[in-house]
Amino acid sequence: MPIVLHRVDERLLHGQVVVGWGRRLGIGFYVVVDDGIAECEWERELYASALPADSDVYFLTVAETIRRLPEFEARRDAGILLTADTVAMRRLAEAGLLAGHAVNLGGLHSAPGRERLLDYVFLSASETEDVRVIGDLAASVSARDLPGSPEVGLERLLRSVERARR
Amino acid sequence: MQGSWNYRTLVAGGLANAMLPLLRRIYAGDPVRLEAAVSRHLEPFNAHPYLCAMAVTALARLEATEVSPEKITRFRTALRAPLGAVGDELVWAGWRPFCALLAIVLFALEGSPWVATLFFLLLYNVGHVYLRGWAFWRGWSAGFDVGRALQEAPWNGATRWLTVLNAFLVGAAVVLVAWRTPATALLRWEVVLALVAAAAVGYVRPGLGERVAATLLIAAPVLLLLLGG
Repeated sequence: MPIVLHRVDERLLHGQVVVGWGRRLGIGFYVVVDDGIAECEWERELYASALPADSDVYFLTVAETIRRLPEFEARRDAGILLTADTVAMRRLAEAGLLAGHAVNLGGLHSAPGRERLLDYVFLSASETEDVRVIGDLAASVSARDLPGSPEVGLERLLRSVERARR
Repeated sequence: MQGSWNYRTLVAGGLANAMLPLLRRIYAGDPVRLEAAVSRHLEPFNAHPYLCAMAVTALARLEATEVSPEKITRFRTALRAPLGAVGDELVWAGWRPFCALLAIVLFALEGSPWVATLFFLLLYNVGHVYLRGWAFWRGWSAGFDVGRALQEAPWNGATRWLTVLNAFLVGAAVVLVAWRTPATALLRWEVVLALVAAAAVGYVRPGLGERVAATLLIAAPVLLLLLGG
């Protein structure tokens, strides 16, 4: 089965993702795309300990993800792909990996230079541009923190960016 | 830990405050580095409130072993994931409902609300205080190896069983509560209204319906006390 959720969430594997989304979608594996974490052993171990024992996790660089995607598509169980920022997701989109897939924005929290769009989505100017590019290359982009919450589409997100910048 | 909870830094105020006595000792006589360390730990942080104790001691351990500030910050960022996910799964989704359901079953069998309440508070807090204590000591001994410490935690086999047991206890509680309820109490209009409302909510918003049904189940013994006497 393919990857059923592509999500940008700076907390990566955490309660909302593992319990909130993972349980609801019956997830068997997680693909964490982050160049820094893929190369650091204690960091990988720390993130992996957030998961239930019966699920698999892969920590990959963007380049490795592009190469290994067919292997994940061939799996029988469903997976979640996570990036910590919009830059990594944009690189996946530009490599053509997100064509036909919906991209989900989750926990991107308050930081200097970021504007508040939703309680759980804050974006800087360059991140907004990333999201626009992802929106052009993927089937859709929307924000939703948990499966039970309402979905906020790209149009509405960009409108609130304009309002916040004015 | 949650005393200064807010949307911007979440539990960072509590974390920095809890670390303060350790940081004062580590950076004794060096106010500049102490201040830098305190501001480092005032950056946004979130985790399960009980397992936060593990962050307090593991981070203090790194401060004490002169790890670079950049590495401490990366470690701190990564720490949020397991401490949040393991705590949510173990406590909020496992231990707390387990204790509550066991107390409901006890009440249905035994009939005294005081015994059931006391039983819940005692049982829950034995686990709660144990977890805080374990997290505090294990965090210090693990340092960078918090991930491994969590994977080798003594309760790891039990988390899966808690989910299974909770499903069994929900069934047992429903049967026992229904059996204990006098038919006259069930036929009162308040109860019928509550059931109709729960069904309507479940139909319109399925996700919310589960929560309402669970709340009703937990409220049932209380309702019984008020209605059935």
